[in-house]
Amino acid sequence: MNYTIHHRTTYQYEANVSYSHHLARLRTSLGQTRLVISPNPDTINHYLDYFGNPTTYFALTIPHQKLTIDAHSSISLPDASPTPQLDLSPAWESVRDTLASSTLPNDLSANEFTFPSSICPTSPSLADYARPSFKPGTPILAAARDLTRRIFEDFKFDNSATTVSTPVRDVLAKRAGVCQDFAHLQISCLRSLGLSACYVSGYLRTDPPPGKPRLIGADASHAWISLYVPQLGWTDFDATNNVIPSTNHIPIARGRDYLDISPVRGTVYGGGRQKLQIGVTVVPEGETAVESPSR
Amino acid sequence: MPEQRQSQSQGQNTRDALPSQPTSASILASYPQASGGYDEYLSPDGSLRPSIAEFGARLNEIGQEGLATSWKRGDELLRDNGLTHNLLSDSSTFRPWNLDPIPLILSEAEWQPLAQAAIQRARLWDAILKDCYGPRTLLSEGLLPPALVFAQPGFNRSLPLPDPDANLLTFYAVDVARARDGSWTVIADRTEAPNGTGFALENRIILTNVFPETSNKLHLIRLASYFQSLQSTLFAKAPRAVDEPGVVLLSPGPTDSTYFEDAYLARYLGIPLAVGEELTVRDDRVFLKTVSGLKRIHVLYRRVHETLIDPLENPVPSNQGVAGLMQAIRAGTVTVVNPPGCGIAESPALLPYLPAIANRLLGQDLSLPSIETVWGGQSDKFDALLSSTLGKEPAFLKNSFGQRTPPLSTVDLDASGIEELKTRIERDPAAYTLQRQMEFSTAPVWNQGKPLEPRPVALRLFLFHDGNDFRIMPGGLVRCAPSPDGLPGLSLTNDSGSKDLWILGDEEDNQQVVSNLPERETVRRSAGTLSSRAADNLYWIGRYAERTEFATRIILEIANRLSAEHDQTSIRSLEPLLNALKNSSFVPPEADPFLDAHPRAAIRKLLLPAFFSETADAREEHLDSIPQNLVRLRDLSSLSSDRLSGETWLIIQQLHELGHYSPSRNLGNLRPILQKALTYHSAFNGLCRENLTRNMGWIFLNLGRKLERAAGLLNLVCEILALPPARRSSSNVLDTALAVNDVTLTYRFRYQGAPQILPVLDLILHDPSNPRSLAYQLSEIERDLSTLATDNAEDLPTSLHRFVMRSLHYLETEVLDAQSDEDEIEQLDSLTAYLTNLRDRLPDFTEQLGWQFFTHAEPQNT
Repeated sequence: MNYTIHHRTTYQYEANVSYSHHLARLRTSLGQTRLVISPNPDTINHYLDYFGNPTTYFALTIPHQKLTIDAHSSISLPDASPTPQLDLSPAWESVRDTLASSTLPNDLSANEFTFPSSICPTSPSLADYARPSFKPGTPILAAARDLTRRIFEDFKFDNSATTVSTPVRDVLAKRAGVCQDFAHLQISCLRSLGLSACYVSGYLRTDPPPGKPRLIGADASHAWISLYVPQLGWTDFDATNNVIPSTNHIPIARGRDYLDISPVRGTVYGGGRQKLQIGVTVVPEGETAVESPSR
Repeated sequence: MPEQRQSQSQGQNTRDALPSQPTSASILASYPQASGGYDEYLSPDGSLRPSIAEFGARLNEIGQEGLATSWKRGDELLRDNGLTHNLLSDSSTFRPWNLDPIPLILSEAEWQPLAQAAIQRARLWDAILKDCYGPRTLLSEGLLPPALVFAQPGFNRSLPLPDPDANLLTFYAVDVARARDGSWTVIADRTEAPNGTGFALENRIILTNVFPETSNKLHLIRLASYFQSLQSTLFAKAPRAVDEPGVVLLSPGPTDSTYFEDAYLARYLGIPLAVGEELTVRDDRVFLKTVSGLKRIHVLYRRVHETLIDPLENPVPSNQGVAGLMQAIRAGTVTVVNPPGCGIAESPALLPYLPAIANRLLGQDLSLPSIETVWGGQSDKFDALLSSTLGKEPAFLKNSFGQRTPPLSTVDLDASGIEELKTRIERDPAAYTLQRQMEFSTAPVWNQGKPLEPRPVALRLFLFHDGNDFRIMPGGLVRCAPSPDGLPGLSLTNDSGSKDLWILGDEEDNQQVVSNLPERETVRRSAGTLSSRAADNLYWIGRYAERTEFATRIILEIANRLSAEHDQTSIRSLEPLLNALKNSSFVPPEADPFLDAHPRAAIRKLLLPAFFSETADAREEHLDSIPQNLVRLRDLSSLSSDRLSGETWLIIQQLHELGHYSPSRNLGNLRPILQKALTYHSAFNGLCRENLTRNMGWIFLNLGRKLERAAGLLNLVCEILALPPARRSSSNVLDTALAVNDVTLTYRFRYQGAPQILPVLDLILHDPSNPRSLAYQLSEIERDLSTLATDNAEDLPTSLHRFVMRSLHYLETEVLDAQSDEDEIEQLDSLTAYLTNLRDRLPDFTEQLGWQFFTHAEPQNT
């Protein structure tokens, strides 16, 4: 499946920013990305970060009150892989034990994702929440699929319930949040059981209501999780939509949590108050998008 | 360097052989034998250990009283150096560093095995860190559990792959203690940004000043070459060959408890101290912001915690780091020592794995055993140690990962405490590490006049990698327990005392101080670099010093007048002086002592708090006082201690103490104290004039002084001119103006008879030869601004500069020379207009100056 994606990030500052540094993880390793930054940065470095994600560092020293980062990507996703055989996967306890002792290179790399990270703590109460899905002997992928469903059913999608800094335990208490919160919660549950789970940021293909055109900027960044099973590798789960991601999910970066791979972040000097706007347009091959009349 | 200074005095003091028989007053005779443990001074049979014999004899010879006398010098040095924690906290917690005069002494033969073992351990940690950030052999071979790397918050995922042929770890410190059998055991390893080096140096300098001749006779091995080599190593760390590498010590800043040590070390090593906001990353390179632009930095001696080092990579609410620094590290344009990420080796949970790792990575047995430790991840062993110690034997529970927290003693827990602890551990056993309390040796601690007391001690040893191998400081920081049954704290925040560690050579330490610096320095006179922050500090040092002096002069003049026999009219002539104090907030603006039935007493009541009140809340909030200014002066001076000479710092300390610790704060004492304060101010002014190189730093100090002096003068003269004509021309008023400006004598030589207004004003305003005249201040400011502008000589003078030139021009061209009373009134009117305008525009001027040279924007994360 092929997509063209436009991701625009705009910062508007109340006063002049005298200089600034930024990190962006907007480029894809599944295709090509053209980054257009305005004003033009005077330093720009492209490299792969610790987790292998294409990363861009840039810095501006000319005073500015507005910064726009446009990422135009064309992405080619492999054709849909067969749905994993959930019930044929190993019992979750054996996965946990293998992870704890294996020194095989792949297992060791995945081991890194069994530990708490700054946003994804582990705790008995998180393990307790996961437990009904992880009954003794349950095949791990079936258990993870069930946890995905339960989060989808137990938690309300609510933009106003949380902020970027709402901790996982509050999300668990409130039973509400957005895709980021659900991903962090699910990761924390899995790690609390000794399993290896990572955070995936990317995009989701959405289809406009029947008869309506696809609108520019109508989409958003999305987040879901991936679970590691020795020999089987990584399997993705999306609790926000209660699905196993396939060709509608377009991954961009993987890390321990959002902080490892936030799409854009920065340190600016001066500027006063700031306003951030993000617009994402995901267009499947052969389709087009039009300007929203309200824009 | 200070150590060389004291060696000069040693020749004069050399004595003959020491008496062999201790006298009855001997100090060590009454030192009690500690029960069972290892004592650093006494053998089990109660005799002095061989390495102690000579020092012990000397100590006995000195006796209690002699020691007390010698130690007074040590106390003074400590106070003078102001080597204290939290220098900038409020004065009530101002506590001198507790140093015991009796050193811990090891012979070179005893020291060498310990030193070699510490070096082996440093090599081992370097190899472990390189492996964790590189091939991860230890993980794939199962010699190190992955949790001990991956679960550590300090594991730096943006660190570039280490060079397998170079060291990753540069600075290392190790805490050791001695067991009953005399063997050494490691309590903790410091690999993040080890502190204590500066304190060890300071202790040594003080002790060799207290025992100049003894330390020499005993062949004490000096520390100087260690620090010389450390300094040249830092310069050699520049990533590519550069002629003059920029090296700075990056400090967390004055609010941090390590700040004073940072400043002390920076000054000793001759490198600038910088805080995060003074540095900036441009084009993947690190620069220091200076008053003359950006200066490239190649090496950072890092003292900021590794997790705060780059807010871009690791968003934290802290200004201590430098955004973009990790990019510069990745680009290889800067060397940061230790690189952020080395702190993972401080985790106590690693200790159980060290012996096997030493065999694997070094092919050697670990020479120095670690304290008995089990990590919560080693379930069976952990549970066994926990159940055998909980509530029974002394052990400590520590956090396995993250920043150090005070360990929890498990022996003191009651039943409910034990249950609570067990539940806590059960939730996440890997987060905890348990250590059985080890034995400590004891050493005598001197307690002013009382018998020596055996107290448990531990040592911190310091090492660095000089490019070839690790080098160890021949000495260290000894910490002693606060009481005979206490434990020596090894963190600097702990309240226990310290000692110096002496290593005695077999022969006299003739080591020439070896330096890897270029053999021949090219002569240069460049101004060097001055960071904008340092410039700002020096400017304010100048302003506070001058402000304090001005207020002191006025208060002294008033006090002099009050104590002399004067009638009411002459007291009334003090009005302009009091108004000047009101204008600068030393006296409440609404006060009017002249309405009082006893104006003399009322004025005294107003003056006392201005000179003695330490804190703002003791008076109304908006009121200022001299002690408050002296606190600011001292705080700023401590921030600039790398730029001020030791003597300057000493004078400022003494001024500060004069304000704060004057014995009785009454009127009788006021005048002698004020006079003494003025003597210190004169000494400070003299140092500023005669002893400081006229570099950029001096220019900003001078700008601050001259601006403040001009402001004070304008303040006073405007008040005099505001009086009705009859009163402003009275000789009483004019006398005070002359006295405050210290030109009474000059006036008398120049003119006979009672002072008259025009000659007085000419002397204190127009006369360019009077160093206190307004014209003199303006011409100095003008010269300083020209010097600062030399970089762009072709540019037009700035508006600041033009303002000063215009003001100076007026004083140079308008001569006070009246032929009639009308003439005089007219001239005084136009002078008043000029002075008032100048006075009113000064605040704007100083603000603009700040914008031009000092202001930086605060960073924020997005």
